[in-house]
Amino acid sequence: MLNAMRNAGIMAGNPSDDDALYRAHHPRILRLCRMMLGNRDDGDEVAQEVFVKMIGQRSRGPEPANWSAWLTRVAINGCRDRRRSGWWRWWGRDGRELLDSDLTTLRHAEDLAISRQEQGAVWRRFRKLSPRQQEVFVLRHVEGWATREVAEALNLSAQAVKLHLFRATHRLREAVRSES
Amino acid sequence: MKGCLNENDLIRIQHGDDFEFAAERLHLRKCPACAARADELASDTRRIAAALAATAADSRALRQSRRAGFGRTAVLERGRLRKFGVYAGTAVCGGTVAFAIMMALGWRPMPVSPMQTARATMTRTPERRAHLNSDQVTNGEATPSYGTVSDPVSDVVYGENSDLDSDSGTASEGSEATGELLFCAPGEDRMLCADSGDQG
Repeated sequence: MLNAMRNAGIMAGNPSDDDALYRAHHPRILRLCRMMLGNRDDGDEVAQEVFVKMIGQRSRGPEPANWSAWLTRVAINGCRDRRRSGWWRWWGRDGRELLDSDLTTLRHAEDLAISRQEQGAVWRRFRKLSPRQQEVFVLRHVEGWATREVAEALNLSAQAVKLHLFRATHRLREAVRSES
Repeated sequence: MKGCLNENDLIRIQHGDDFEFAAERLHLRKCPACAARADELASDTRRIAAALAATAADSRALRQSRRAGFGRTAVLERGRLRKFGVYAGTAVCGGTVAFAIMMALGWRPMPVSPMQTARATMTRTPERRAHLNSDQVTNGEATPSYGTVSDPVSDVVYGENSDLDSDSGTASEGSEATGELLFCAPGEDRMLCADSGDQG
């Protein structure tokens, strides 16, 4: 993808830096976007847009101090914009497609003795959370950010983040316990 | 603080800062049961995060298998075919609505009369086209010059010789009707006509 952007004149700066950034963050951003949108195609599209914006930011400058946080923030905003679009609402994405298609990718989950039924239950419950709760939970527990970092990234107070985390954890844990 | 911590307390402690819930944290250190439940909560949270990450993870093996055959078809069916269906449905609905609006506004598809077919056939030559542009005006109404019928298969035009001039294949104004039929066919540079008397 980066070569295509470079050929199209989109890319500026040191290509090796772009490649390194892309390789370092693309899997994580892709996973994050798919998780937030619950759909493979839309997640891939938004992740691609995130890296197009990264290239634009590199060419315009100044570069952010922490690319990981910047990319995550852009990805979250991109997913939020996608969810707000009329097309998305009309289409009624519910995340079932991603779950059905990706049940073979359980290598990491199997290490933690998670059954497919349990994974399905967790995913369905996760999709029923509010978008804000999803964002907060993913950033805190999947991405491993501190509560303060999550609050800064989402423009929320620390207390609001804790409240969202409390509700999300409570509901997701219900799903785990109901399966086990 | 009284008694053991409930689940809500444990979740709050898990997400709280280090300086928060000092009394509850002290109890956790002293109470093995609460400590075990806190560990269970942390374990559940890790499992939930792992399950979510695994669901959304990028699987190269899966993508490669999709490229190989059946999976790719499934992707096309799920993604592009569904989008194509939406676009096609939108186009059909739009066309139907446009047709309904035109019908409501009074538009009707016009049937093609034999006269129009004949005129279309006769306009193949420049002379005919020029003559058709100068249709006669009778009693203030535009009327076609010819009472003709065409045979599109044989490319022959039939008409009365009062309407068609035998030399040029054009109508000649003021000529008298003889009641004989004219047969016209396109020649190299003009229509060739003959009346029914010449046919015999």
